[in-house]
Amino acid sequence: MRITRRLTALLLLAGLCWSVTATAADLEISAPGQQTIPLALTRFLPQAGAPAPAVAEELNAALAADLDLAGLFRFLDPQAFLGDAGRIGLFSTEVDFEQWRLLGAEVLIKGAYSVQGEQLTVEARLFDVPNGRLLAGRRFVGRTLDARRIAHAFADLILKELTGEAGPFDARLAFISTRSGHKELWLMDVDGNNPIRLTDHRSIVLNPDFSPTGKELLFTSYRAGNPDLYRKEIFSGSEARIASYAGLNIAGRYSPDGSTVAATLSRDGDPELYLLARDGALRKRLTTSFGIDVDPNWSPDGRQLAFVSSRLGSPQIFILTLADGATRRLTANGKYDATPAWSPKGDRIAFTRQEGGRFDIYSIRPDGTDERRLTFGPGNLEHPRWSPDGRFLVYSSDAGGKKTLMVMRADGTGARKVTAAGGDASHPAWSPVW
Amino acid sequence: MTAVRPLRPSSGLHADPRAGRFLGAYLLSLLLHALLLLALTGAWRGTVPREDKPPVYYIDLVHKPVLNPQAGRPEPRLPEQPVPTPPAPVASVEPKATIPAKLATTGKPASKTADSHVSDALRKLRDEQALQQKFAALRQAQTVPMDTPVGLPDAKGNEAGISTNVYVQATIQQNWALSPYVLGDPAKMARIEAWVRITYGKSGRLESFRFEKESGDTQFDESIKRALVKSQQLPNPLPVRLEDVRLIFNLKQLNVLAELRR
Amino acid sequence: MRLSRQVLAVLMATLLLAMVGCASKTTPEPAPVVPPPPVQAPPTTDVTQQPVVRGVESQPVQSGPVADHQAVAGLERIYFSYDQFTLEDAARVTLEQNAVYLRSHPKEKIVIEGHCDERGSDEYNLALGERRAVTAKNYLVSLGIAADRLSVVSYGEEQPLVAGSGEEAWSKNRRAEFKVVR
Repeated sequence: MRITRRLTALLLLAGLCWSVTATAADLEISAPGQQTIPLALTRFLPQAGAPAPAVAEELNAALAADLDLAGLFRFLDPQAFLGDAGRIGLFSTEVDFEQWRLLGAEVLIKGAYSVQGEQLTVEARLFDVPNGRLLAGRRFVGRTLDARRIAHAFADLILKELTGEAGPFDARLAFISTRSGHKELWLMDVDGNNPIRLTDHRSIVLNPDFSPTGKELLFTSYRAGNPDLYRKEIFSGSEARIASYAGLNIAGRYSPDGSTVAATLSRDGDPELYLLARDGALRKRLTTSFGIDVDPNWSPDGRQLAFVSSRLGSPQIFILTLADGATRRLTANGKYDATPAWSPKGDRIAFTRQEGGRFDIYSIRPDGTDERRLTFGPGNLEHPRWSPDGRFLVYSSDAGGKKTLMVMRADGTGARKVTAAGGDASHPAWSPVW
Repeated sequence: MTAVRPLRPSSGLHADPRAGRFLGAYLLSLLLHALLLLALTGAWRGTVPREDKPPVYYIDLVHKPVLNPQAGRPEPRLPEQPVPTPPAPVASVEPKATIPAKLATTGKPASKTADSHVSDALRKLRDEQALQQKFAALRQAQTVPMDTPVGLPDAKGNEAGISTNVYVQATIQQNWALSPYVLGDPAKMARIEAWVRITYGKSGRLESFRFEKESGDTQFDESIKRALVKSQQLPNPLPVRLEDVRLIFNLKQLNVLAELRR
Repeated sequence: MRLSRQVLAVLMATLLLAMVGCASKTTPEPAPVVPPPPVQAPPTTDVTQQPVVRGVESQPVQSGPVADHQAVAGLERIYFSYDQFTLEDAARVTLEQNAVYLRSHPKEKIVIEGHCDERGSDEYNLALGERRAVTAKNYLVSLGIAADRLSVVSYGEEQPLVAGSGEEAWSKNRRAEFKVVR
């Protein structure tokens, strides 16, 4: 483009358009002066009824945590806020934007709540400060217990407004916890609140996966003495053992359309990948190598599977194309690579690599280029799974001897712990947004 | 035996030599005309790719925008410290030292070990010295005479201050807030670009702006609009009116930083 | 050479670009007023109601019996090397002794449990544990024990014999156990 314009200028000078005067040089700004958006997050104020500082605190804390993890913002110091922060301003006419411009704020969050018995109503607003206009607003109605979930839903909305894509915070994490004394399947909010135990097998439950609708979970359990695949409807609680072939029935993963399950079975004497129907009926055997083939993971278009195979000796990640059964090796640099997880956008595959006796999380493009190490300990960091928007990774860590869940941005920054105390937690899976 | 024929050049490549010669002459003529044209119009510099930009300096916004900013360095230099050792030609390493210790010891291991240690230590010392000399030479090369005035590297005038263009550019850049996480996709960041035409009056008031080319990304364009709205009144008046100047917004430098951070 | 080609390209493109260049000069006058006036948000239309999803209730308790298997005196564990499922000499000797026990108790059915140390990925270790159990089973079959008396289950790294990290614990956890099905 630039050359084109140069040529044009040249030509004009050469005598075809003498009448046009040369314009001043272009000014190029090749990076924003601020790589974070200055955000003023005001305290939620009581609108009607009695003030409930605890509720306001929950709303603000959950919102701040989500927006901080998103990485977009620089939080302005609330100490510097002027008079407008103490006023409920739900419409742009009621907000004194000049005060916020003075502080350098670019976006402003205001909110009000009212508590009536068990019912909580929250009015939440996102304003564009330079232009003085409302970007997004919602009224949320729920129980007082739902304060954090309301904040998560609003955080999702804020990201939708400012980036074009909604956040993944109003979702759930399924995970395995030993809190009850056995490894059982649990469900909680993305920030670690409201944990609920879903199974009571009093055995060993492993490796959950959400169905694409988020309404079902697939997992492995030793309830009947053998590692079998189970399917559970979250809302009805009904549960079915769908695959109990001889040997292993593990690492089940729903296809993106939810119609098929990929899993590792050893019914033919060797751990191989199979496709099963949702009810566990055998559809197709996918691998035939002598060697362990485990951990299938679907590409978002459902055409390929990343998986782990020891066919070349040590465990490595391979990609299988379902249409023709062709297999290629993805990772070449590690001695022990495992648990591939294909990003929802399809652009990267996260996995875990053992090096120096420790697991860390890496990601790579599906064509095998641009491998990046995302974590540098401490402890073993394993089982990476993507948030439904591809912004974040949730994974398990055993740093300090206790297994916990962590969340970080897809580029490896912003890592933080999510599980509450009590028992070991591992094998997370991030649900679609509810 | 048959007589061996003399080898002839294959005729396929030179089917019609005259045609090739004509094309050559034509191209040469075109080239010479082009060179002449360029020399006449003084537009030769125009073909230099834009990538060869001078290094980026941070501009102090406190400075007033002026018409003829003074040339010099962006910041005052500290008093010069004497270079410890004068630059000297790098001493060539003696051949003996280049013999790997292993090779030297293969013959008589017992007696040569001590020798190889000494030569190793000697070589290390020489390498170290050579390195120090290189550093000293580099420092010398970067040294600029003390009396260079403070100013802009590409300026030509004599007024203390910065050029209008740089002033406007820096102010708007300071007001532009955009997180890489807004765009998310690095490939998109590499090629995204928007062009805006702006007009500033002499009072420093933004009189108009219009998008000449939108980036195609709503969030990117919105962030530019916010930056311009925030820059609608510059802190200082301008010496000249800026009429319909093109501002190019992209993330090239951000990409460079991201690559470096890897 | 590169330069001259560039120049050539310049001339070739000249005519076309001239038109384009001239055409692009005829851009309309810039709109006079810049800062968009503060947009008044419609007070109610932007705000919608959104019920918050109710929490998920916990499931009724279901008793989960784990299959009852017993370790007995005559059946000893065998151990493996890291990331290996081949039988070492010591393991073969142990298996031969276990075969003697099995021959003297022809009614008993045995489950062989394969285990791994904590290193490695969980699913891979489940597969590795199964390989260990299957190797042990095959060796017992080769010693004349009926295959239908032997079943196999892998626990991967889920049931370590010895807690803790370090080679001492790991070497005890890389094992196959033989239990009688009651």
